[in-house]
Amino acid sequence: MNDFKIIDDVMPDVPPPVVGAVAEARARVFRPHRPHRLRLRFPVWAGGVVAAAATVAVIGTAVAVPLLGDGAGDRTGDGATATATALVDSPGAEEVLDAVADRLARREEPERANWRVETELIERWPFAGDEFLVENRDREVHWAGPDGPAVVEVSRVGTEPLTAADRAAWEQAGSPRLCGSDSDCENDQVPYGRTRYIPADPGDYHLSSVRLSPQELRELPQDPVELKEEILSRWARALKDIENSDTPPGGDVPSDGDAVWWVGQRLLTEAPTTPQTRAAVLRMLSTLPDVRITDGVRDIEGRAGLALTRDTGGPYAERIVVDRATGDPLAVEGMPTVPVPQLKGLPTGSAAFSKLIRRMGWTDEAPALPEGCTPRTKKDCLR
Amino acid sequence: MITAPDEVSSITAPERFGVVFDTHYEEIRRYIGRRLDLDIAEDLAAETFLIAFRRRDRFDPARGSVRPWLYGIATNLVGRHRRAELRRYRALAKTGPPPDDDGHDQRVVDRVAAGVTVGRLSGALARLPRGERDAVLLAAYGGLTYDEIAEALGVAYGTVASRLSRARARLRDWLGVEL
Repeated sequence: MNDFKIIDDVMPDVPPPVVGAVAEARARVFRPHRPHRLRLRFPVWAGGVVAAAATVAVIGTAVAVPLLGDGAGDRTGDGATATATALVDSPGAEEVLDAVADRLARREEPERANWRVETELIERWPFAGDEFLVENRDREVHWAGPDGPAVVEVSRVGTEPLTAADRAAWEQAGSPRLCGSDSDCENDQVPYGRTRYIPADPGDYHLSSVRLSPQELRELPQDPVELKEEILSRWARALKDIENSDTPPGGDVPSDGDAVWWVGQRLLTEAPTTPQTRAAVLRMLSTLPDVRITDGVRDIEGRAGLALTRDTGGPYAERIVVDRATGDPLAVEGMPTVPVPQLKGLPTGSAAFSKLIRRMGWTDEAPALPEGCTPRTKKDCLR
Repeated sequence: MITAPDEVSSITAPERFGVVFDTHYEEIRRYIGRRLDLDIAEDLAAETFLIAFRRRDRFDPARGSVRPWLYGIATNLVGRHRRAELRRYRALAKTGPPPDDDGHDQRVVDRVAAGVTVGRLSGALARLPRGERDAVLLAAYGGLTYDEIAEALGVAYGTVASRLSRARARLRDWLGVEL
């Protein structure tokens, strides 16, 4: 399209990046490169859901930017088994985990028509060049049916100054409208008051690099050691596929711990797994060598739970908080472990990023797509 | 635009997200860097990819390709710095392009002869309503089609058409040339 080409012609252009700048930017987005145990044709790594909240150190005066990777740095394959000793941060936490996993494993959970996971995604970020922090909340509902993932519904909850001090700074700035990533409430993929529907073609579940059919998901091992072996076996196959693909080279090979943590996290918080599998996931994750178990933590909303926390090597730790009575997931969160410059003012101990699980389970309800909204159409699936 | 299967798998499989970065980082950096100072632009370019990663479940290949989706995220991030963008245009309106903008003079000699200078254009861009400016600059800098702009901004095709039409009329009035 040549419309407005005059603007492209006349306005000053941007100098090309200086040597190394793109690699530096890449390292800021992904985790820094490190010596490899194995360096083949694996694309640069991007980690799990909450790994996205991890950050990297500030370079010069630049704003620190979260890492996608887990910054697992020098971690190597752990080779841990479910019989390894868990790291415990609070007295009795391991016993609490055992008890809750036992209860979960005994739960009967009859399958119904659809699987629904209602989540709230909470992100805290600086507004208008670090003047103050805001908290943005989006709602996502993930539906899956007998044939696999079905649709994701996304809607906005709202954006507010984070603290009283942030509110004062916001008012001092003239109380600009806060609309999530869109500062004047236009131009948004998900406008306020409406829901965007993203239908999926029926098929496999994509849990990080591991693909599982609905049947395979239901038949996952209920023993933590076997489950771990299954995940690593499937991971190795996926890695081989990537090595043999045309994917551009460069990047790191994730450790076994990375694979188990990321896939386990999604088995626990997203996919329609059986309670017995979820119990096995809890035990499997708790025995990873760099995972700590802490009882009595509170998620971003103050809900008490049992946390499995894994340091990322960056300024954030990832944690999964589960209900200590039922074992149901409450939240997946990114917790700063050191001061993060662009989040100055974030209260100590607060999460920078959180995915709250509001409700998860089988239902006879079904998603209702707007008329004409299908995986094949390009019709706008907004309602 | 139909999204290539490889591009979809790059979004859905997080291990392959590096491909999305490699393919699109420089153009996203350039787009933001033409609207904001470069130090801010480089941060926001990186943040564009972080947001895309976090929200990758929301990428809908049926609605378009990865490229307009990234431009949409970048545009919304620019929106958080609207005052800085307007300050930049006003500064350019007063001082013209930076002295090291070499390629520019030769490239646009005809345009300048026609009276469309960096200063006048910057002043005009600053006066455009944000929605129109976003649409215009996605077309000008990103080369996005109407469909892609609609996808990037999350608005209807007709809205894009009317924004661009209004913007074209305003710019013609302010600059005295047909765009």
